[in-house]
Amino acid sequence: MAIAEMQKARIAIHKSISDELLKEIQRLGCCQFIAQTSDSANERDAAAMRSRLRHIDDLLGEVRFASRFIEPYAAKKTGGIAKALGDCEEFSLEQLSELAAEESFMALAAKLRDLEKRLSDAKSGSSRVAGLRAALQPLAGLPYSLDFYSKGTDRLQGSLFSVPAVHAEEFRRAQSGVLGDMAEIYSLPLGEKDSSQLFSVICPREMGEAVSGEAMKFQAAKVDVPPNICRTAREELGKLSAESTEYSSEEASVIEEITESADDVYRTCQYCGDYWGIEKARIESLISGEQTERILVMTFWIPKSKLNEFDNIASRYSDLVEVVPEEPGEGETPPTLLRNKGMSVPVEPLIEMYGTPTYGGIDPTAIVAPFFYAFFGICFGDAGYGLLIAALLTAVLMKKKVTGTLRKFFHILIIGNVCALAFGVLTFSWFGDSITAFSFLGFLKPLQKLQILDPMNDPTTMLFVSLAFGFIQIMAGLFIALRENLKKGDKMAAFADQGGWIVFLCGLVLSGLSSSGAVPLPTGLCTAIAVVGALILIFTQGRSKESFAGKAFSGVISLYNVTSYLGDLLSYSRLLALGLGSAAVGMVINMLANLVSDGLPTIGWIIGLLIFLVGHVFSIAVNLLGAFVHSLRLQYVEFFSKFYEASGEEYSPLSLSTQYVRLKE
Amino acid sequence: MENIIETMAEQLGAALVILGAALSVGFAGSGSAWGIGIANEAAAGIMTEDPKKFGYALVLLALPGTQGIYGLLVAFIAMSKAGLLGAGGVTVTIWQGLAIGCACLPIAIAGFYTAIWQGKSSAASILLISKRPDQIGKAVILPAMCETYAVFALLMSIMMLTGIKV
Repeated sequence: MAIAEMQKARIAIHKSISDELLKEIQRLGCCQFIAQTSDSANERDAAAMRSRLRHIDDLLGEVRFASRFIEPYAAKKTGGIAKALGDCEEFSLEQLSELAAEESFMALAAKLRDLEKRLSDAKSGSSRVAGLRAALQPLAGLPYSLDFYSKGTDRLQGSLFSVPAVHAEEFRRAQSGVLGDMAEIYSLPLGEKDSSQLFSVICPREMGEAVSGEAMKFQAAKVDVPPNICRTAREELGKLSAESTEYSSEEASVIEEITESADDVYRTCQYCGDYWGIEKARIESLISGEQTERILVMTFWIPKSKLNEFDNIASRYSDLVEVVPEEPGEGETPPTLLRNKGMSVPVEPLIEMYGTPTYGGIDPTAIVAPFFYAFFGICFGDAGYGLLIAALLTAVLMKKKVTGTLRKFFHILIIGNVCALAFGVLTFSWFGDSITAFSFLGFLKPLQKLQILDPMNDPTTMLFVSLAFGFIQIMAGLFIALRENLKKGDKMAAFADQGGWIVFLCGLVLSGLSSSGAVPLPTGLCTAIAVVGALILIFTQGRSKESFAGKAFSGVISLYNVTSYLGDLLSYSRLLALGLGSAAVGMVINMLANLVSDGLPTIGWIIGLLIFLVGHVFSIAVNLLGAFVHSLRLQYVEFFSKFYEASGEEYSPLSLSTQYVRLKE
Repeated sequence: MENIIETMAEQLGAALVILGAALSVGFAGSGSAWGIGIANEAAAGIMTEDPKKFGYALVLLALPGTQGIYGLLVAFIAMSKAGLLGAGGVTVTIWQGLAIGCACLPIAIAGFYTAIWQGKSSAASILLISKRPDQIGKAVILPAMCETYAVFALLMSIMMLTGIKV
C-alpha cells in the first residue's frame, strides 16, 4: 500500500541554460510540470516558444503523413508490441537526433508528396479511362464517327436508342414509317447476353423531336455519347486501351519506386517521430513556465525519493538555477505514483485500469495481488496448463527484452499460472484427467497422492473453499475501510459502518457454521454476536436523519443490505465454476481423444493425438481469458466497492518516451 | 401392452437424458451464436474505419462464445453420467433420467439469454475501443458482468448432476 510521496517545487532558470537543463530533467524523467495560469511577463519569448512548438507539430504532421503513406509498402513493420517484446533498434539520444535530420526529412516528405500525387493521378486517370471504355464498348460495332451523335452537323443529327429486344422490330418499323427516306436507321449487332437492341437513327435536325417522341412509345432509352469524342467507337477504344496501359505502367513504376525505399523511409519516419515527440514534450513543459526578461520560472511535482538526484543535476548549474520547495495550494492534489515491492508490482496496471488511486488514500495493489493470483490459479485450475504457460512465458522473458506494461502482464500470468499449477496439483488435474484417462500415463499416478480436493466429485467442499476466499476478501475490504476511517478521525463511521457490519456478518457466518457442526462454538453465542452486530447497525445507520422515526426506519432498513453482501459472497462461487469448467473441458477433450483412438484401428491414435493437442490449446485459450477476466471482476466489483476511491490523477512526468526505438540508458 | 411399458421403462430414462443434453447444447449454443453475431456487426463496422482493431474486436466478440462451451460441457457430463458415451451400457432409470434432463436446464436457459445480452454488451464495448483503444481492459470487463449468470447456471447444472446418484 504505497503511494509515493510527492513534493511540489518551483525552479527559476536563467534562459541561457533553460534548454540544456530541461534536457537533463527529461533524461531524469521524474518531474511533472504544472501549467501556469497567469500570462507571461515576456510575451515576445513566449510567442517564440509557441511558434517553435507549432513548427514541431508541423514536422510531426509530416511524419504522420509519411508513415501512413509508406506503411502499406514497408515489409518490416515494427509497432508497439514489437517494441514491448524488445524487437526494436537501440540508440542513444544523440544518435537519434542525428538520424532525425530535419532538412533531409523534409526533402523526403516532399518527394513522398510528389509520389503520392503521381500515384493518385495515375489511379484516377486509369479509372476515368475504364469508365469511358465501359461506356463505349456497346458502340464498338457502330461504323460512324461518334461526333455525329454528340454534336451532329449543320443539318443532320444522330441519336442512339437502347430498345428492349422484344420491341426492337416494332421500333424499327415505326421509325421508318415516321421518317421515310429522310433518315437512316441502323441497328447494332445484338450481343449474346444483351436484352436490348441499340439503334442509331440519323435524320434531319427538324425531325429530331418526332424521332424522340416515337421512341418514347417503345420504352426506348436515349444513349448519350461522351462529348469531345470524334472518331468511331472502335478507334476510340484502341486509343483508350493504349492510354490505360500507360496509366497502369505509370502506377506500377511509382509503386516500385515507393517499395524500393519503403523500409528505409518507414524507419526514418519512426526515428523522426520519436525524436520530435521527445522535443515536443520538452517544449510543452517549457511553455508551461512563466517568462521574464532573463528568467524562466516553472513549478512541478517530483517524488520525494527523487529529490536527491534532481538536486545533483541542478547543482551543476548552481549560479543559474534556484530550486525552492513549495506547499501545495488549496484544492491542489499531487499526482499519484504507485510504488510497490516484489510480487505486487505487476498488478499495478490492473489497479490503474480501474482508476488511479487518490493521492493520500489507499493503494490496494498489495492486497489485490495475492487474491488475484490465487483466484486466477483456482479459475484456470490445471497443473498441466499452468506449467505449460508459465514455462512458455518464462522462456519468452528470458529470450526477449520485454519492457513496460507487457513485462508486468507477463509476470502476472507467470505467477498466476504457478498458482494454477499448485491448485492443479491439489485437485489432481493435469490436462484435465489425462493421467487417469490414458493408460500409458499410468506411471504418473503417484501424483494423485498430492490430491486433497476433488471438485468434480465433491463440489461442495470446493464451493465452501471459494466462499471462504470471498468472505476473507470482503472482510479485508471492510477492515481497510475501517482503518481509513480511524485514520481520518471518523471513529463513529469506523465503529458503525464497518464495525457493525463486520460483527453482524461474522456472527451470521459463525452461527451458520456452528449449527452445522463445523465450528465447535455454542450456536447461541454465535447468534448473540450476530444480534449485537444487527443492533449496532439499527442504532447507527439512521444517524444522519433528523426525526426519531427516520432514525429507526433507516436503521432497520439498513439490515436489508445484507442481501448485497450475500450477493457479493455468492459471486465468489464462480471460482469453483470456472475451475470445474477448465477441468471438465479438459476431461471432455481426453474422452473424445480416447473414443477416437480406441474406435478407429491403425490411424485412430493419430487423430486422437490431434484432438488432444488442438482441444487443449483451445481450452487453454478460452479458460485463460475467462480466468483473467473473472478474477479481475471479483476485485473490481466485489472488493473495490467496499473501500476503494479512484479519483487520483495519473503521474506523467516529462521523460524520454519513445514509441518505436529504445533509448540507451 | 406390458411389453411396451417394459421397453419404456428401459429406454425413457436415456431419452430424457438426451433431451436435456440436446437442450443444453442447442440453446446455449444458439445464444452464443446470436450474441457473437450481434458483436460481429459492431466489429465489422469499426473495422471499416480501422482494420487494425481486429485483434481487440476478436477478443471482445469471443466473450459471448463461452456459453456455448458451457452447454457442451454440461451435455457431455450428463451423457457420461447416464453411460451414453463409450462402450458401457445405459444405466439410468426413468426418474434418474428425468433428473439429469432437468439438471441441464439452468445452462440451457441462462446460457441462451445471457449470451445474447453479453453479445449486446460486447458490441457496445467494441464501439468503445473504436474510439478509445487504451480502454481495452474496461471494455473486456463490462460484458463479463452478463456472463456471471451463465457461470452460476453452469455451477448449478454441474452441482445438480454430481448430486444425482446413478
